Amino acid sequence: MHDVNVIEIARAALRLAPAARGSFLEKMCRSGRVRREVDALLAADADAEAEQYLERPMLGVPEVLAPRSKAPTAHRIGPYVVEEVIGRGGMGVVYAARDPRLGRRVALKVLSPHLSAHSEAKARFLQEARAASALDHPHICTIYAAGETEPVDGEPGGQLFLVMAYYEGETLKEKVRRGPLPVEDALRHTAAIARGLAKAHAAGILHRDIKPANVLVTTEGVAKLLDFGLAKMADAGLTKTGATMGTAAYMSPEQADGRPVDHRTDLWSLGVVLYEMLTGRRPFRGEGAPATLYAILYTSPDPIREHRPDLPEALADLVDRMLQKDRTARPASATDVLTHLDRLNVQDRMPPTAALPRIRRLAEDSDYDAAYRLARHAAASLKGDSELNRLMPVISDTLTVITQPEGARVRLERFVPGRVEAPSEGVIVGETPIRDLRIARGDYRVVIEKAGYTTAERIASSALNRVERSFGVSPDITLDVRLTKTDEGPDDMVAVPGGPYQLVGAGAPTRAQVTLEDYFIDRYAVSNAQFSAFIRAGGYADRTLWPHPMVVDGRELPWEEAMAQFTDRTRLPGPRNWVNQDVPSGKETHPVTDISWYEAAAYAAFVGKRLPTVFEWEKAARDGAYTHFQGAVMPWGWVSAAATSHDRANFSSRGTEPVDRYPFGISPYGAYNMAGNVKEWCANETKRSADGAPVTSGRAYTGGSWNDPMYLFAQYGSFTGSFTSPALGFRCARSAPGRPGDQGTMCLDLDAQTPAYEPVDETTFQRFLGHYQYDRAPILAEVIERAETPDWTREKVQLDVAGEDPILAYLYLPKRAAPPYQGLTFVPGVNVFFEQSVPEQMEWLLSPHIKAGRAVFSVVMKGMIEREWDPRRVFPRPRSIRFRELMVRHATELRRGLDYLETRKEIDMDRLAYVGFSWGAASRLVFAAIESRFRSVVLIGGGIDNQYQPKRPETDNVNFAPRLARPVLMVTGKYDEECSYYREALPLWNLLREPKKLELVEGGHLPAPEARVPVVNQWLNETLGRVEGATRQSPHSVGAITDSDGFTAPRPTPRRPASQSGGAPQRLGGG
Amino acid sequence: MASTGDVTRILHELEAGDRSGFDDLLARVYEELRVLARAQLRAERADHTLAPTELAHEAYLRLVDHRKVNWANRAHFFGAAAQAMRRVLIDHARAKSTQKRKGEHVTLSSLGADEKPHTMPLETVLAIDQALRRLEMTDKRLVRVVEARFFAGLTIRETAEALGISHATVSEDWRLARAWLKRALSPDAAA
Repeated sequence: MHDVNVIEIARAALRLAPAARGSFLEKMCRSGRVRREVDALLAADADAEAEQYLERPMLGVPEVLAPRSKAPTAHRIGPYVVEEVIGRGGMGVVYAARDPRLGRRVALKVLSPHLSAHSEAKARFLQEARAASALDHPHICTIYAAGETEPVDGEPGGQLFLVMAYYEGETLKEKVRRGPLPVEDALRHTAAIARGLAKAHAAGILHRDIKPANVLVTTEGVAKLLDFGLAKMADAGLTKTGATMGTAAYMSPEQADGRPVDHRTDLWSLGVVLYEMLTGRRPFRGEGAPATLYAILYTSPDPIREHRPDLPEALADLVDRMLQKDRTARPASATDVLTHLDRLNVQDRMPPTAALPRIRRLAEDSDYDAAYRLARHAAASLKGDSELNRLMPVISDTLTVITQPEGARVRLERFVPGRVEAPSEGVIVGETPIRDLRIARGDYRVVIEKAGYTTAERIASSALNRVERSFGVSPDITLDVRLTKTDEGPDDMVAVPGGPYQLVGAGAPTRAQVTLEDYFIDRYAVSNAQFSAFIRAGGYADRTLWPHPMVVDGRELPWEEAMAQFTDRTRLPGPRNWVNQDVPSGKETHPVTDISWYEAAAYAAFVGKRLPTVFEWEKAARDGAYTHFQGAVMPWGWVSAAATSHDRANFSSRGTEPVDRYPFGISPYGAYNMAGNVKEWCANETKRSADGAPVTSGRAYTGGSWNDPMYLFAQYGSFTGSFTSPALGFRCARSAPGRPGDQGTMCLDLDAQTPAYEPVDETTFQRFLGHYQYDRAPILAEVIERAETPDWTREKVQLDVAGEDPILAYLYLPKRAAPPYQGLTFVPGVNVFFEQSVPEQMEWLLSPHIKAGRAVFSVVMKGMIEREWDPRRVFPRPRSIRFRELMVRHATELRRGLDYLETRKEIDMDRLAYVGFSWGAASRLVFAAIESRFRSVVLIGGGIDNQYQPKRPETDNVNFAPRLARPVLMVTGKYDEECSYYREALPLWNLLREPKKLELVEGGHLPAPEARVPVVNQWLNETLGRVEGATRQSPHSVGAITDSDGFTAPRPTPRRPASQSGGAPQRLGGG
Repeated sequence: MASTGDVTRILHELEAGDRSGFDDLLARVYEELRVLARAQLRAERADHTLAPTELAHEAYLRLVDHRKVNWANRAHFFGAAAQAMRRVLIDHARAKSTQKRKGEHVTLSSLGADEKPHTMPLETVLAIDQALRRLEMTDKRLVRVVEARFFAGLTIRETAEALGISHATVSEDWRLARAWLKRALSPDAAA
């Protein structure tokens, strides 16, 4: 018997060339028996290969499974005498039969037994058959009757059958099998089918199973559509809508997905048939039905002219339109298809331009690289083609690189999503000046090298360049780089030119414009290894490096006393997270963290540099690239999708990464990791001085960290200078030689004054409300996904309202409590549009409330992840009509969600709360104000941000906040840098009417759960009533304001220095 | 018939590493394949054959809620379907064999309409099964590959997916298994 050894030796031998096997086996086979067995196996392999042994699968059930059935010839089905089998399909067998009463020939279709199972299904089948038999049209096969077989000769009977007109001819399936049809024939048959469909659709009957096997072409060449409505009849006997017996290849996406269908499903299938008639190929293929369904749902067919370049473009366009996954993009009706077909016959044929549709398709899929390569290839033969000329600016950009001095070599590396590191050295495209170099649309890292000069890196971002430019104008990306001589600037720093600069980040603490002199900023954040050198050189003992008065806990400390705080875990001078002054293992190249502002400043002085001001930092990081979408302009350009942004910056929540990672995430001046990885200290002193509160001081930071949502990159905040965190580091700056300057070293007033806003009068407000007029509509709801955890059941629900995009919603039902549940309607943070899905955010933020026994519900609104939108994800400007339209649309979607929620018996609609986070609390207050079904409102990280985003009055919180008729709880983090307490939260508070409550808690924009959850729970208990099993915790928030009478401005105390271990960083953000 | 939820749930458990449901899955798929095979044959296809791949996919559509599964789930399903298909085919072949109809041939046909059905003696089919039982004792994976390729008609790619191994390994295993079967079934085989 063979053993494993034999098989494995044979396996190794088979990998060798036959000639090499002998000596190998000599070595490997320890016994003659093994050698003989291996030889025998190899010999058998040679035989098996030669005769293709078993190569054809056992593709058949042995006939022994069932006795060969009686010859159907002597058969009678009902009154009909069966003559012969003329066809078979998934649904059953078709016989030619004779109707002895009328003496005419008929076709009899007997349905498969499993389609004839249930009596209810039978009734439906017969009903559908009657409807279909009413269709009388030259291109529809007439159905005479339908019935059920009688028990005969021991056969059980009860099988359903249809009696149809009998035609001599063959089906399109047979015709297509021989190859593509002449265009004229294909068009004639398509027109015939479309005429038949027009008639049927007018009668309210869908075919649902258009496929070549269902189109019979008579010997006279007349197409007849078979099996009208049969798919639906067959469906009656099946459990699943989509999974009918027929072949999947012709199903429309909505059928494939099990969604409701209308007449346009037939137009899709007709499109598939037309495609196949013209090319001999099916547009959607896959091995097996699931793969085919997948192809239908998610892939684009090859443009038809790749297979038939001779087809007129208008015909290709028609096929293309019929095969649109979005049925609203298909021809509106069968008649519409006919109109197009008629037009085709008179249209001139276009020259063969087969590549163009493919280029267009690639461009639509944003695969600009492939599109551009194809276009360049085709350009030679299509010179001057207007379509190509139109496509070129869509799929490519031009790049100009100018340097001072000239003659630098330029390399380009294309950014490929999914790849964090630079894949290669890139392609050398020449020496500067390079003008109007055409490149595929996309993002590139541009490396500019010249002997004697520091190598410069830049990002050429098509996306950024195209923002707010209209299509059709080829954007020219221009890089103008002044190279720095190696002896003028250190090569670990990048040069930034001076000039006037004004901060543009949404949370910018000042609107002042300063004039910057030329300066350098570190290419990378200061690493642990670098900081270690500073410690070893005695940096902590050199008092001259520590000139700044040290303030700890709001108190200025003597130098020695302060220095006693700046120690590692072993009480030696060093970062709080180090042990024994050693760099944390494996983190030499990671940014140094857990150091106070004073240590950062001392290090900078030690290396002959200084900390950058916020102006220097921001200019180096993004250089004022500003759009109205707050904060989302990253160093490398426009935020499009989270996926690619995560290849370009560390917002991973997993910890720091090496300082030189993410070569495609560099800033406009080539600095690495300015967004993410660690927040960075800046030089500026800060103060909080609003409304007569005591002045407290701190130091500014910015940049966002691995532990933040991406958009916090653009935010500014302040910590007391002794604060440390594992998410806070720094980099240094230095003025250019002979160019000293103030560089904006001002003290930043982070709170400034609290603005007051004036709402509009009641009459005007009532007019605004008109925009939000809401009409209920019937909703077809389907739970399309259900997920279980020990704590909750999560349901994903699709809500269909006629004429509207399907809405998605998530409902979490708690497991630890009994219904009816109180419901929290969650309106999320803005990052659900680009970074985090709604359920991800809900579970992140609200799981404690679900565990406490409350149901949580959220509507995935238009544009959020999982709902399609403009791929560029450009938010409408807050003053635009589109902004209002989007607001109204979102409000409507939310209300449809509530309508659905009312149908859920588990939910107690009298105990429903609105819970808004960030965007939901600051930008969409309108929702809570216009909807009376909410009994309680919770706003976390909410405020009025009109200083930065003046809005249309009919969308402005200023006008809606005073009209909020329910009790409102505001939860605001003391250090909220996105929605500052004095600037934004307090103005909102002042507008709200009673009853209201403000909880000012530890933390930033998104306070930590331990600060946030108890106060929210208590509020919900008070306003909605307690919940069985709810956590009983008293709030331990700091400086809580419980009513307006007792209001005294809470004092934002500076954050205490972190514990020895560095303490837990506050989790900031959440949108 | 098992509800789609049950099978889908088992597939999810398998993906999460819980193998306890595999036998249950096998039993359900086996049952479904038998029912489907019978139903289709009663529909009187003239050649009285069915393509197992078609059957397996049909079973998949009926047993699995395709909107709730991913490719790994699908792979587990077809892995089980391949094993179940071997049982279905062999059970019936054996049942037939016990009726002592010497010389009865098993009709095999392929999906392609232009290919003629070819036959394989019942004894051979059963002998292959016997040989696989022996092979199972030394190399289970080769047996799984034979089930997938020969009995369920899966492609190399599908087999790799179903068994969670690479294409190259499937190709190699398949070649070795065929050689092994060829040798095991040859009249002069040692064992």
